[in-house]
Amino acid sequence: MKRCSILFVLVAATASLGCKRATPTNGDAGTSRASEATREQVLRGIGECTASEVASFATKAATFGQKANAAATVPSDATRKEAQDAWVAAIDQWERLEVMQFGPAATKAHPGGQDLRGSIYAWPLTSRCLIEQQIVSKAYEGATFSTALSSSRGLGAAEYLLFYAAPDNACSAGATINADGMWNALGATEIAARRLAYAGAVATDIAAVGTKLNTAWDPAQGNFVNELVKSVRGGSIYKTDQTAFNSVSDALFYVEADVKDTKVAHPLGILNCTTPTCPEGVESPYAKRSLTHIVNNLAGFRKLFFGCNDGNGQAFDDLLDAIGASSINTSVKVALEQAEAALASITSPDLETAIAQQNDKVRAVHTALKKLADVLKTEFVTVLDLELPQRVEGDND
Amino acid sequence: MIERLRRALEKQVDASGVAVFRMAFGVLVVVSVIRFFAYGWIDELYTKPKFFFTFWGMSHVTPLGGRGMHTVFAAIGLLALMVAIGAFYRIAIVLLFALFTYVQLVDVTNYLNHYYLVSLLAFLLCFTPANAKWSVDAWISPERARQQLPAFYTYLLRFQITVVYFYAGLAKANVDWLLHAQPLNIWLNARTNTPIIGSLFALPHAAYVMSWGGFLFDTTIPFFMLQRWSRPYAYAVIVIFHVFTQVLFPIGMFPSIMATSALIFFEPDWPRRLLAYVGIKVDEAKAASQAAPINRIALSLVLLYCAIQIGFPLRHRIYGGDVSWHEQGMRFSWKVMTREKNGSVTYNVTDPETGRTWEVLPRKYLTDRQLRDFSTQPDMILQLGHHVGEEHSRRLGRKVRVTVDALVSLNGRPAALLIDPNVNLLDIRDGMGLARWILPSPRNAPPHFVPVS
Repeated sequence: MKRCSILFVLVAATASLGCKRATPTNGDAGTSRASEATREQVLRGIGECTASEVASFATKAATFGQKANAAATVPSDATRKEAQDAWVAAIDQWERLEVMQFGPAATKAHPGGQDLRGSIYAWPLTSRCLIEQQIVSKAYEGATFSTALSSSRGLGAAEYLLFYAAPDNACSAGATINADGMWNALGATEIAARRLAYAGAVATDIAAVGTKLNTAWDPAQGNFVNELVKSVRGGSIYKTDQTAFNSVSDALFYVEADVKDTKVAHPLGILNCTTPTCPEGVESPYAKRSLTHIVNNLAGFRKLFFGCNDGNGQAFDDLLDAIGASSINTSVKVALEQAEAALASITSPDLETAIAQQNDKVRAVHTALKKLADVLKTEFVTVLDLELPQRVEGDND
Repeated sequence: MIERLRRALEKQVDASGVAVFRMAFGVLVVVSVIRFFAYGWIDELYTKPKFFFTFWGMSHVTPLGGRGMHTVFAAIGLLALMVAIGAFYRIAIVLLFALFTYVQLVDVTNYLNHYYLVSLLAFLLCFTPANAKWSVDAWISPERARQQLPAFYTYLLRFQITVVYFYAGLAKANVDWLLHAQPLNIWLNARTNTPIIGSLFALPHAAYVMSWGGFLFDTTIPFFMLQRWSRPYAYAVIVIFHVFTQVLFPIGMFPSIMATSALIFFEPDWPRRLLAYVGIKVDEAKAASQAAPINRIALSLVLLYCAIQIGFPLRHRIYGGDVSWHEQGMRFSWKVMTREKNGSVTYNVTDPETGRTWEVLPRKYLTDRQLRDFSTQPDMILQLGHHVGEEHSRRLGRKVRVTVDALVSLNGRPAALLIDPNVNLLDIRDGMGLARWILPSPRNAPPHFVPVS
């Protein structure tokens, strides 16, 4: 009994010593709090930031709908240019939102997901041949067009329809529209007119989905921000606040799989490319805005990670500061700034040209993005204990 | 000494404790199988993956395809049910052990300590006449029914459970766990809003208290369960502990398996006494005729099994370094919930003829679930590296070079390289020897994070 008492005292003393030693300063991350943010405040900040970005997109999508339909009604170089400019404004805003694919924009497998992103921008699932088949069939005039394959709708389809002027098509010679001579029978003028008419239908659809998305986020209507906030106390579609954080962090990984790998590494020839480079794999082959899209993706990432209003809004950086993991913020900031600087240093007009003429600079973008992705996949998910959504049971071994 | 041990092992005890253990074991496996079907895990784990990681020396174990694996799981469920009711028990438990172990060997990323425990318990039950009582077998053939069994069977099962708890505790006897409260500090910080108990996790020393509590619980609980005076209290602590971990962490059947298995520590006649206590009278355990003595070979095999169970989990000591980092000796060692680790892995494939280097991403081959386990475990990174190398060598018609950029963060430390990025993985063969291609673990202490509600 006496031995047990001595053992207990020793154990308790060691534990107490461990506490005292470990708490004040520890490791690289340190424990000093640079922020007093709470998890609820951070989720609210992220939600409000996303809601404001969605509202901005809805406005731009509505304008695009008007301009594209005006061009379809009165085809001219001027109306076409106005539609193109409206498309640019809409896609620029949407590229910021690409990094915010949680909640209503996400697929139905995610909490609150309504699969709205697919109807707005299905990239990389854009099928030029399918669009051209529908130009021939005028399927875009049908009542069910809004439920047609997303690879023939959305901003990706609109890019082709508004920016591609040549009268050829991408379907094989054996495809019906070529084998039966239907495409050639249309003639260049009719093809141009139908492309504009198709663009009008696509833009109308995008505007409607943009409104639906905005309705879901709007504090006066769907108020999805509240779902994020409620996750802290219960009664939300997110079972816990940790689930909500998981959902948002999953969206952040867009910069890895989509930006680093698909938008940069693949065209650069270092991923899934059997030839030295694969410039045909760029995101925006017709409007030549692939570089700008990446810039906007990173701008969206910056907002989601560091907060809206030039970083003054509450976001992940505040949570990391609050727990004493500011070093991760620094790592993310450094990698992000390196990627942004590398992008800014590219003087070529588009990514295809940059890959050919400024290959080292595009590689620098990739290197910086990899650094960013590595921090996210290692330290970031570790300190916040973020999990993959598909996680099944485990015992952490 | 040996003679005393032999007498203790041969002592006849009530068979009802072992019988209930058999029933509970069977039911738990049935429930596990139902969960696999209900949650779609058979497809997720055995059909969806395009690449399967094999255990060292077990590369011949492959999945049977969708229909085959569904059939195997259905068979496991049926066999477990037969074990639970004690019908054709001997055949059922041997087949259950074989099939359950097979499904665990199909892919390393599916490895879980509690499934390993199920395999071991099934193995031990293969040699245990757990159908001697309260079984269909005993009902059909009363002449084979027995009211008593040698204590040896109960002791062996107790030994196995003791090993699990004790080594799970020993695995926590490290600087990260005891002095820095990691990874519990990370895990609890993510759960500060858990209803009722969450606010406790926001207390400054919560992680330390729980780390020490967990360590002391695991290392001592089997010994408290072995003492008659402390057993009821210890079991109450076991139940509370496992309910608590079940609520907090996604650890599936582990708490149920451990809490149920711990019943074996009670006196062998506990089910009979419990039934009597609630007013159900069952047949009295009559003194059995003298059981056949345990022969020397059987005793030697049992001692060998025990020696393996004691020695094998300690093999990481031979490798030195931090087992949570290099993972050599991590599996089959009861290192349960001892680390939070995440990694980022990119392979670089070089064609030596052209000098061209390109990236290959693991997600091309792995599911998200596999990816997370794989990205921190060197042997799996090596295994997929070989597959990538062989695939690209075949395609090009010449041998390529494969290096890997593997960054890992352990218990919140800044990410560090896990594997030497200059080593051609195709030049390395996996084995039991010290893996010099794995870089040393970071020497800095893990950070400690402030809880935020």
